[in-house]
Amino acid sequence: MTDREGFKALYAKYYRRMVAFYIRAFRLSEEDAKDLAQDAFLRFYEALDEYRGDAEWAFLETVARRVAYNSIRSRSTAKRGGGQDMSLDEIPPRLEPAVKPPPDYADRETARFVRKRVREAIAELSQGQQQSIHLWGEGFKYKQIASILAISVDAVKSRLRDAKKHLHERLGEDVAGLNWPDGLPEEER
Amino acid sequence: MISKADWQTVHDEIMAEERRRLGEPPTFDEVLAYTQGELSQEEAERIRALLVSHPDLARTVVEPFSEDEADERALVSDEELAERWAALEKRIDGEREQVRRLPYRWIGLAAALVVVFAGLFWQSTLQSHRMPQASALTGEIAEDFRILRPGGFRGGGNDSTVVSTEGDDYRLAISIIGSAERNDFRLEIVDASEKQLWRSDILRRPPSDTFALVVPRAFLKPGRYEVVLHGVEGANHERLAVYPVRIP
Repeated sequence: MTDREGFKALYAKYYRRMVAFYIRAFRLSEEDAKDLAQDAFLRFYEALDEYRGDAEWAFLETVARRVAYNSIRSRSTAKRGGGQDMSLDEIPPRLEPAVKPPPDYADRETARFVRKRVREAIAELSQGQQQSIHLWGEGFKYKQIASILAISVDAVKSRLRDAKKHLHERLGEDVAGLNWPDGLPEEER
Repeated sequence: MISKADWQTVHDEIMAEERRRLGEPPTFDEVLAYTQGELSQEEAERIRALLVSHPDLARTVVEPFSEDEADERALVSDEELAERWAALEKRIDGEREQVRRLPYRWIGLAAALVVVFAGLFWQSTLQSHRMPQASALTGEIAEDFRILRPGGFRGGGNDSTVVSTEGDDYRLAISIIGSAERNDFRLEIVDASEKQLWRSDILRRPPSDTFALVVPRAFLKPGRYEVVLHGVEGANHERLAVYPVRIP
């Protein structure tokens, strides 16, 4: 079997899995996942000399991750993550007024004041507490936050508990009805 | 009362600021070394902060991939797989051909570069006559305007807006987000390498909170661009939002 034939067999076996991998692990759109999988297989082909023929998927997954990270880095300024192109033709006709009624001056000032208070309160948290609260805000669970920050689950709970206490003290009753994203961290989701 | 929107806005602003402050996302090798505990304390803290500010990458650290053959098969039909393979083979052969011919082609390449630079000069001369125009949008957004979607926001994803290929101009609508407190703004167009192509004068906040940006078609070639909204306070400019655009 030639290199090309061997490569084709691997492609047929793993292309679909790589697309699924990109969709689940990197949350790419189906189309972006398929395109990036092509790039990853091209890189794999170029690196065939380094491949010893075992642990096929493990090797491919490493290539796939490297290609995805490079893609994210090359696209990122505030960029982040794989992008998803969407034609505006796909956007349904306007479901709401194109221009929202402009907020009046009082509303803008109130919003500015509230957000300034929130920012100040968050800024007073320790770096670890801020990191935990931001990851919580992104929907991560205790165990996942612990894994990302390389600390124990108990440490995550402690940080979030202390952060919550501080925010309550600084923001008072205003924070009581807060729903961010499902209430301030209190119990494991 | 602090609303969910207030929290979300503050959270998004802080995350965006952190991304700007910390610079590029981590490489795969850096994240791998971090998860395996191979970094110095200082380096580990840097990667940790980057992961927090890039939650999409952080997610890849904590969500193990599990195979599901039925699910995978539904994603790509046999016909599409064959088409994709054919396309990949073309790319492989194309790159080989390119490498093989390269030593013999430098004279042609030099000539092509001369043509390209002459073309660029000619195009820049043309563009000097027609530059993008930004203004306040009043009333309803006209049908031929594209409403740009901000990138990097929850729910908004990082979607690029693909503009229409009809007409002499790209007509874009940009709503101010994430800044209730500012009244002065500036718009900027950057290319994929973040090179600034154009920036507006200072723009006052319009009553509609929306700017109209009309970009001559000749000004932008097919590719990816970003319209960047800056808040302006005296000499300080703060990058508030990025609106990815793709020109097909």
